[in-house]
Amino acid sequence: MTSDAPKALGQSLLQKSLRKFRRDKFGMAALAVVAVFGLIALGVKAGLFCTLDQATTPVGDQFVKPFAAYERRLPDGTRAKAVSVFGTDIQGRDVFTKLVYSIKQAFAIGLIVSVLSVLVGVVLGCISGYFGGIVDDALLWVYTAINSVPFILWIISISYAFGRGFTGVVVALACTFWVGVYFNVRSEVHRLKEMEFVLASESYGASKWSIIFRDIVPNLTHLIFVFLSLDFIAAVKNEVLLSFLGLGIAGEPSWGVMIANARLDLLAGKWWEVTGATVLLFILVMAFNMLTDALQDAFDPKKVG
Amino acid sequence: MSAPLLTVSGLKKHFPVKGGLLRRVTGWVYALNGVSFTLKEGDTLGLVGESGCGKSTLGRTLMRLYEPTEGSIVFQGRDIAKLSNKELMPYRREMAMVFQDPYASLNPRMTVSDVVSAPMRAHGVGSAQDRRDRVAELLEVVGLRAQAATRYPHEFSGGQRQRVGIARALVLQPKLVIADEPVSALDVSIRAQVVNLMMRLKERFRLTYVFIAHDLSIVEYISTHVAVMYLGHVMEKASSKDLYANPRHPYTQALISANPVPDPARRREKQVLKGEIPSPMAPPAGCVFNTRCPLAEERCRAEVPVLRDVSKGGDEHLVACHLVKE
Repeated sequence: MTSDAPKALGQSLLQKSLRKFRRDKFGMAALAVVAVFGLIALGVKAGLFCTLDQATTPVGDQFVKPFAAYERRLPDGTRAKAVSVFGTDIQGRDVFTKLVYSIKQAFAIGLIVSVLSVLVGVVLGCISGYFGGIVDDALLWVYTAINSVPFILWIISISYAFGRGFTGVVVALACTFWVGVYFNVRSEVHRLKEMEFVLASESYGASKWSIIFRDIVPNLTHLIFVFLSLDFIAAVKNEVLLSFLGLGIAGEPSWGVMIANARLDLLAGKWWEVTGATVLLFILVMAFNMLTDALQDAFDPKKVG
Repeated sequence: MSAPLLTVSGLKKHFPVKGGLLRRVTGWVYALNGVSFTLKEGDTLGLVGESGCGKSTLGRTLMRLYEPTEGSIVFQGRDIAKLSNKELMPYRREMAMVFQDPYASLNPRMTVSDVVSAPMRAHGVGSAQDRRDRVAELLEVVGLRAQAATRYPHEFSGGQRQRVGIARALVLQPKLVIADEPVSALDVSIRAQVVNLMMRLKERFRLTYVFIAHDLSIVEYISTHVAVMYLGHVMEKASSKDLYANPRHPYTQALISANPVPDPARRREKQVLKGEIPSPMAPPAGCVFNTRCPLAEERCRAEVPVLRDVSKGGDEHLVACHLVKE
């Protein structure tokens, strides 16, 4: 426990974890990539880069190749010579604009789904793990029931029931993802509940809420961070899958919609739309995976030295 | 003579074992089977026994961390065995616990100051400033520097952490401190320091201890009285001096003879116990020690011995054995 290296005194575990995380080069690089995507998403949301209108309005002929000269339709109906960035799709819409707009879609889904599922999972996991009894039995039963059917079937059926669109995707994903968080939090709470510092709190008569909020929840930080990250990735990937199956977002571009719609174009040699969406998806998911690993390393109390 | 601070009678704690799909109760762990003793103010009762004999369960049941199955715990004249959590609150100020593992008994996310003052907050004692003052005072009492208050548990060694745990136990000025193997997780070199600290604190704050340990020499050193436990029963209880000089129960004799003595010239005949402790889920009939007792007779396998006084005047010396003559 005692190391010879001089260390800052009075440093909390969280501060130590942050320091460790900052020293992790891969983790920081991954965070930088995620941050760039995040900033673009924010920019799109604020209408700085492109609007939904721009992403859905044709700007030229269909299937203009990337980096090729073409005649661009301007909003006033006139035409001007321009060089395409990443070509146009079957209806002549600008692929690059669609790609950038889709970053916002991915972030919106990832953030909403991960925050919702972690919130629900942590709250129910704490209740189930700490209080036990009938509530625990009931929640565990729900967990087992949801877990005994492949997730993708749940996601498909829930989003089908909700109808195509953003809300359907978010509800379907959040409804299935919380169970993973719940089960892990529940077993961690079970472990923490038997720890002597919780017994100590009980021995001097601390209230149940004080034990949950002061003793248990602060010791779940590592799980919360890791699940936020994991569920973000899973949500982004599943949105693509749902859209590919025709159950995802409608009326707006997203990587999934782009891949789904352009997959037949690929046979005709029009590779840019599918490639663009896939590459961006890959970079974001890869960076998030690396970020999750780094978070796990830095925040797991067993690894914080 | 003053009334005893703590009188425990017939205390039982049985844990249900659940199994199967519907988690029905499939058996019971008989952790405590009718433990009785009294403890006067200012005394230190050492509880010894092998792992799994129920001594930690006893400590935790006394603190009402576990619900007693049966029996009474009379503390300061009132039976606290059946009180609700709310009714217990005033008594929780009067009794405190020091835990075994100093690495697990302090919340890693709290500063030492928060840890030590937590009992005050739970009881709504004092203002924030009062709490800070009290923490500073206690840290000094247990031999830590005042700067320790703003640090986190992971910045301390095991011995220092145990001092923090002791400070937390003392913060509400309890009468009774139950120490559950407070030094067994510490380095041998640190144990004496912590035990001496606990003895000094006892004098200074007029504490009464229940000191749970499996190290016989430490118990001999700190305790005024010792109770030997086996499978949830008290087998023998006497003053510390009497028990070590003149152990009467065959189990106590075996324990003491197994305890190493730092004197190479002295050789004692060792009684090595055969076999293992039977499972507390299926304790043997009759005297629970009969399966390992070198002297066991027919009667021991049939009849449960009760604790009786075998002293010839003077302090009481209680033994639960059919074969011990008065």
